[in-house]
Amino acid sequence: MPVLTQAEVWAHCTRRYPYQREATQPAHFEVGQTVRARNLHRASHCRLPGYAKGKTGLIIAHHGAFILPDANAHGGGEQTQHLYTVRFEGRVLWGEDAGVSDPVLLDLWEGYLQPA
Amino acid sequence: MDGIHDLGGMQGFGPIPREAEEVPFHADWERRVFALLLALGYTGLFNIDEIRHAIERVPPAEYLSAGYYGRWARAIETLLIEKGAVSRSEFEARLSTRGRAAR
Repeated sequence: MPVLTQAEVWAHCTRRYPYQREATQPAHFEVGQTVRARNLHRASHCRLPGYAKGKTGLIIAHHGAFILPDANAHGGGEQTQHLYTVRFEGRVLWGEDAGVSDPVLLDLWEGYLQPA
Repeated sequence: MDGIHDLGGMQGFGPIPREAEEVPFHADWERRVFALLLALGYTGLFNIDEIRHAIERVPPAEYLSAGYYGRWARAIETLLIEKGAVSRSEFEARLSTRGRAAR
C-alpha cells in the first residue's frame, strides 16, 4: 500500500472526478420526449430505483454521455451512455392519493429507458 | 440489484429524525471510516460504483441497523477482501485482536 502525504490527501479530497465523457454514440432520446423506465431486475449494480420501473416520465434534461455505473461497478470499464433527467409525476409513482405537485426527478442512463 | 438499499417509497420506518445542529459524525469511529474509504479510494483499489455495489450487498437486516458509516465499514471489508488486499482470515484475525465493537 502506498503511503499518503498530507499534501496528497488535500489534493485528493479537493480534486474533482468527472464522470462525463465525450459522447461516442448519438442520443436516442431528446428533451420533451415521454419515455418508460425499463422493468429491469438485474442482480448486478443498477441505479434505476424500483418504484420507477415500468413507469412513464418526461425527459426534462439531457446531460451528455456519462460512465455507466452498471459496467463500472463490475470491472466492465466505462461503457458510457447518455444521461437524462426524467420527471415522473407523483400520481404516476404513488397513485391517485399523491399530491399533484410531488414529481420525482431521476437522472437515468439511456439503457434504463425505452420509448413510451 | 433489487436489494434492501432500494427502499424508496417503502413505509413503516417512522419519521426522519431532525437534529437542531447537524454534525457530520456521531462517533469517532465514523470519522475514521470516512477517512479510510477516501484513503483507499486514492490508492485506486476500487471505484465509487464498486463501493456502492458493495454497500448494496450488505445483508438486509444488517443494512438497516448498521447506520450510514456502518454500511461504509462493511463495504470496505467486502472490497478489501474481494480485491485481495487482505485475506478473510487476516481480516478476522485483526478484528479479534482489536475487538469487533471498535468498528
